[in-house]
Amino acid sequence: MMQALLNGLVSGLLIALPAIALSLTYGILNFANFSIGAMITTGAYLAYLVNTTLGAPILVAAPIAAVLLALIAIVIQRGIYRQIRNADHITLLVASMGVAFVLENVIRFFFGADVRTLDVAVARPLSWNGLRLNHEQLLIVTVTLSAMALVAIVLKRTRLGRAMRAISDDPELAEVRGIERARTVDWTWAISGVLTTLAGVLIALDGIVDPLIGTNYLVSVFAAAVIGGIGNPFGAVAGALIIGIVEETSALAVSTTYRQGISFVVLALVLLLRPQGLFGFARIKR
Amino acid sequence: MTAPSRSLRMLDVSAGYGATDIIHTVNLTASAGLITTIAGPNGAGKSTLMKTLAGLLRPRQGSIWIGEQEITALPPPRRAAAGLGYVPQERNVFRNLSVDENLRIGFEFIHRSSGGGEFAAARGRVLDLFPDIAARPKALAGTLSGGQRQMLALGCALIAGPSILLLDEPSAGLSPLYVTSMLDAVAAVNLSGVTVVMIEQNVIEAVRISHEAVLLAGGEIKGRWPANEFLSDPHVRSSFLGGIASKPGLREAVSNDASAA
Repeated sequence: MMQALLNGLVSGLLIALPAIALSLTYGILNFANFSIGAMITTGAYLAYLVNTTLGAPILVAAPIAAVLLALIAIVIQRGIYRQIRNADHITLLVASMGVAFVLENVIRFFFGADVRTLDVAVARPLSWNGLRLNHEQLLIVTVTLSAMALVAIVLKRTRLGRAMRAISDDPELAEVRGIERARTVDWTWAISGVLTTLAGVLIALDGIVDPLIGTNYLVSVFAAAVIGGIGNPFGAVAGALIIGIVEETSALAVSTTYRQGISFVVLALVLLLRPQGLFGFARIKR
Repeated sequence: MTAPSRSLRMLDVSAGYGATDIIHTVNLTASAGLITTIAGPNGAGKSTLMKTLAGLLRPRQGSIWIGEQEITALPPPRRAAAGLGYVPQERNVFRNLSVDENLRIGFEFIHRSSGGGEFAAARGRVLDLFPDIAARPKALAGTLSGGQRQMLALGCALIAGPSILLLDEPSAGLSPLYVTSMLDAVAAVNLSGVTVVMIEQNVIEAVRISHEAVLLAGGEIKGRWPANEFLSDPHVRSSFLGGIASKPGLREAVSNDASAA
C-alpha cells in the first residue's frame, strides 16, 4: 500500500507538468489544448533524436529538445491558432485536435510505430524501509519539483508572469494597460513546450518511446487540470497528485487496464460535487 | 505629472460593431490641459466613443490624434505607451491580482526599461492621492469595495503618468460622498497638466469640475459649451435625456432636477 502511494505521488508529479501547461494555455487563450498529449510525444522523440542519433547524453538532449518544442509550439500558435483566434473555443479545441493528429503522424512517418528506448544506463533501485524508489522516479521528483518552483516564480515574481495572469483575468484591460498580448501568448506556448518535453523525457526514461506515449496520458492530464479548477496552474498540481495516487492505488484492486477509466470516475465525481473544480472557487468573477 | 499638456482630437470618426455604426462622423476636440465632459442620454454612444479613443474599437473611418501625433492605427498597448490612460466603466481592475500587482502592471508595461525606484516613486504619488487603497496592498482587487476599486482603477491609469486620461463613468455605483471625492481627485490630477476626457452620468457633479461640456445624442455631437453654461442652455435641457424628454410629465421632473443644481 505504501509503495502504491509512493508510486502514485511520483506519477502524479509527472502528470502535473503537462497539467500546468494545459492550465496556463487555457487560462490565457480560453481553449483546451487537446494536442497536449502529442506535444509530450513530440518532446520525447526530439530528445530521443538528439540522444541517440547525435549521441548527446540525456541531460544535454532534454534541454535541447525542450527549446525545439518551445519553438515548434510558437510556430503552431502563429501559423494556426492566431489565424482563428476570434473563433469560439470549440473551433480552437478542434483545431488543436488537428494539430495532435499531424504531430503524431509526422512522428510515425519518420520513426514508424516501433518501440524505442533512450540511451541511458540502467541502475539498481534505491530502497528504504522496504520502499523501493528507482533512479528514474528520483529524477522525476527532482525535475518536476524544480520545474514547478520555476513556473511559480515566473508567475508570481516576473513581469511575464504578471502579464500572463493579467490576460487570464481580463484580456481587454490587459491591452489597455500596455500588455502586448501576442508576445505573452508566444511565451506561454514556449513554457508549455518546455513542460511537455520534460514530461515526455521523464515518461520515456521510465519506460519506452512510442508514438502514443503522450496520448496515453491525455485523459489523466485533462482530469488533473479540470479537478484542480481549469485555468488555475496550482490547482492542476493538486489535481495531478490526486489522479496519480488514485490510479496507482486502484491498481491494487482492479486491473491496470482500467487505469484511465478510474481517472474518468474521479473526474465525474469531482464535477458532480464541485463543478468549478476543487480550487475553482478562488477566482473572483464579479 | 507630465509636461506639456496635449490635446486629443477625433476627426470625422465613425465607429460601431459589425456593420452598424454607433457614432457617426464625430468631430471632437479635448483641449490640452482641460477637463471635457461628454454628456448625453443612455444609448447615445458615449462608451462606444470612449472605446474608440482607447483603441479597443477600430474606427470605420476618420482619424484620432494626440497633439500632432496620429494614433488611429495604434492598438491599445501602443496608445497607452503614447500617453493615453483609460479607465473603463466596469471591469477596470484585475480582480484576481493584488492591489500592489495591479499598480505594478499599470506602470511596468509602459515604462519597460525603468528601475524599481521609479515605480516606488510613482506608487507613492498615487497612494498619496488615494490613501484608502494603501492599507491593504496584498488584498485581491476583487475583494475591495466599489469605491476603493474605482480609486485603484484610476490609480492604475495614473501611475504610468499619462498626458491624457479617459474616464468612463468614474463615479458609477459610488455613494454620494465618494462621488465628490472621486471627482475632486480627477480635478487634482488635471491641475498637474493632464488633459481629461470624461463620461459622467452625474452631470451636475461633472460640470462642477469640468471646463467644457459636449452633448452626444444618437451617436452625433450636438454641440459644445463652457461647462458652467451647459445645464442652463435650453437646447441641452430639451434634448438632454433623449427619449424621456418627449414624455411631458417626466420632462418637467428632469428640468427641475437640473435647475436644482
